[in-house]
Amino acid sequence: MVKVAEKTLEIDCTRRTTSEVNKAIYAGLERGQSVMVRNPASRHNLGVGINHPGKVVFDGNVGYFCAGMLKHADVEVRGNCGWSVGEDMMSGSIVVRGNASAAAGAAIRGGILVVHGNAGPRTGISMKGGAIIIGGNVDYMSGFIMQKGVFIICGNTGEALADSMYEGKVYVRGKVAEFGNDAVTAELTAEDKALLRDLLTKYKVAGIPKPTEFTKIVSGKKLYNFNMKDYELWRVAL
Amino acid sequence: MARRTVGKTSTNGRKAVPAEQFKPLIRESYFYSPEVIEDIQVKAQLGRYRIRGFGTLRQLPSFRDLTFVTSGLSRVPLEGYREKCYTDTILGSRHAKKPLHLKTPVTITGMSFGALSRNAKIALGKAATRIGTSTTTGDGGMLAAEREASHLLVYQVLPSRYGFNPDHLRMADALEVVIGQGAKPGTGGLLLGQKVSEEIANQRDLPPGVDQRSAVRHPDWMGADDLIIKLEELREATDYQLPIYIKLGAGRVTDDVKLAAKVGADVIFMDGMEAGTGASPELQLDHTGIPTMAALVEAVRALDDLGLREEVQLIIAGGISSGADVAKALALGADAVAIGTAALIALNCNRAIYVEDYEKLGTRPGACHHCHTGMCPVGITTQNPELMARLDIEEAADRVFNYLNALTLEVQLIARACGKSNIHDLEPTDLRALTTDASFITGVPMVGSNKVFGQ
Repeated sequence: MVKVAEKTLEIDCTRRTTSEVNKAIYAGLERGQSVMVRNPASRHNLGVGINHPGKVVFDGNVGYFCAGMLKHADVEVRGNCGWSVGEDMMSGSIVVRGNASAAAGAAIRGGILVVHGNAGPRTGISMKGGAIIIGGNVDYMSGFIMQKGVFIICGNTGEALADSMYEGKVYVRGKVAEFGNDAVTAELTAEDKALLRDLLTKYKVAGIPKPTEFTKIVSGKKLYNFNMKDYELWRVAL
Repeated sequence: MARRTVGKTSTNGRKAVPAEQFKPLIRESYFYSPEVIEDIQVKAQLGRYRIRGFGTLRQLPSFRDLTFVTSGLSRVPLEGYREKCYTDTILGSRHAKKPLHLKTPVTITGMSFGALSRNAKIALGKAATRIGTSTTTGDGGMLAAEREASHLLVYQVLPSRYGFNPDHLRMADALEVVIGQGAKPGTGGLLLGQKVSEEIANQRDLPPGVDQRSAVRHPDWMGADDLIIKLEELREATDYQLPIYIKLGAGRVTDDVKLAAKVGADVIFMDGMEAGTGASPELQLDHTGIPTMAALVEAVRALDDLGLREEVQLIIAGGISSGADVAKALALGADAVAIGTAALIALNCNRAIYVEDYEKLGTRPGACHHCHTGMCPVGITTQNPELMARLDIEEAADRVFNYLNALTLEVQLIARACGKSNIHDLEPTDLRALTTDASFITGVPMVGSNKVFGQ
């Protein structure tokens, strides 16, 4: 049933195709309503291609590509996510109350993704802007080929963290299992601390840890151009 | 020393031939030919693999090894220029609400803004629009001027996602999920620092001047099972309007084509070994992949095996340069072809102008493959504003339009001669093989024998 209340549109996924659900979400947002999606039941591709401001809540677990290519809207998932939540996001926000699977926030260019639980491998892969905050741990190859943006991990990381990153900033509070190629630590500046404080306070992640507990990781810029002096690095990176 | 036998008599009584006439030949090694020696010494200096543009320089079994058997007494030809011969081509009729209707089977392949100059991209778009065919974005996102110039624009969804934007997705006429490319199957893109200008860097979210190595795997999905879901995502985001192509670099053709068809592609784009590139490791150009003609035959057979020949359209690309190539590709089962390098050559690539600038690059017109340097003497594969200004957009668009028109007329000419009123009616029985290799690869009979070599 689609219940049109004054401010909130409630959409039940049961017996609706994904297209019907998504079209109902777009229509609700365009009417200026908030949207509550019931019984998402780990369905793939929910909330894909949203292109309008407003609030959308998925009341349960979602499958792959939830809120993929998001623009403008603020999305909340009251459950866990399958692969690639918010991939290619341009703007808006996604808050996941549970855990996220692999490739959360892949290739985002803007907006913010917050995962209160843990996230899988390749979190923030090919990130091109925006911000990702993970309350728990991330697995291997997170931040792989990161280009721009801010990536905050309140727990531990897997191997090859931020391998071959070009630009952007990674902040890790816990233990880094292994730094990726050309990912190096840098001093936490006042600006970094202010950024961490603002984002962690705003989204109330991981009990709002102190900024000073984080290690900053940036690109060593040794992979920008081929250089025989850095042969050992290139041997594995090429 | 050379004179020591002169004038002397040998033991058998005849005069010894002067030693000057025995100048030994300078003999080159087959294994260590001058090319191999140069290659070793260049690598000894570089300390890495060689990277260059253009495409493979080696000879491969190709469409040139086939000939058409036209009409005679046994078949009736059509009158050239008088009787109609349809060239309309429809792509994406399987699932999309809006398939692409092209006026010619020749399309323009994906080449990035970055590898190509702005002027080149716009000129290609204008030419494609005038002839009624599609052009394609590339590994650098959609250029606004390119969208404006192109009536039908295919938007690539690439592993790198450089410049990827859902607004551009919705502005496209078809989507192409790129799995690989023929020039370097199994690896990601390359754009050397000299071409990563401020503008290109901005468009790709990269620092200017980096030697950019694109990802080869998509960031958000991994195998064919995931791709089923990814295609649903792309269709959701575009309301099931647009055809979705899957582009493959020819390698494990049979299995890849079957998977692409099964995951739900509307169109399969097969890029053969002869395909061009702005920059690739040289060894990949010459030593990876399957030649275009062989890849086409394998792809057609794979779709036949699944009973999907009528549903899934096939575009073949890689080294296609003449109407004969196009006609042969159609006869062997392609629905359309795509050209890249040939379109650039029509733009002016390798033309004998600004010869001194070819010489500065250590090459000459007719043999230039220096796209990777960003110093293209004719303003096509460069981001240098001065060089780019050498490519007048309107004149360049005219040349490509003329060339596309010529290709289309050439295909019609062959189709009419074979008695076909639609170019898509060309079939393998219209062909004969000139070489045993071509016969073996294509299953087309050898000339003279009317037997298929190997069967």
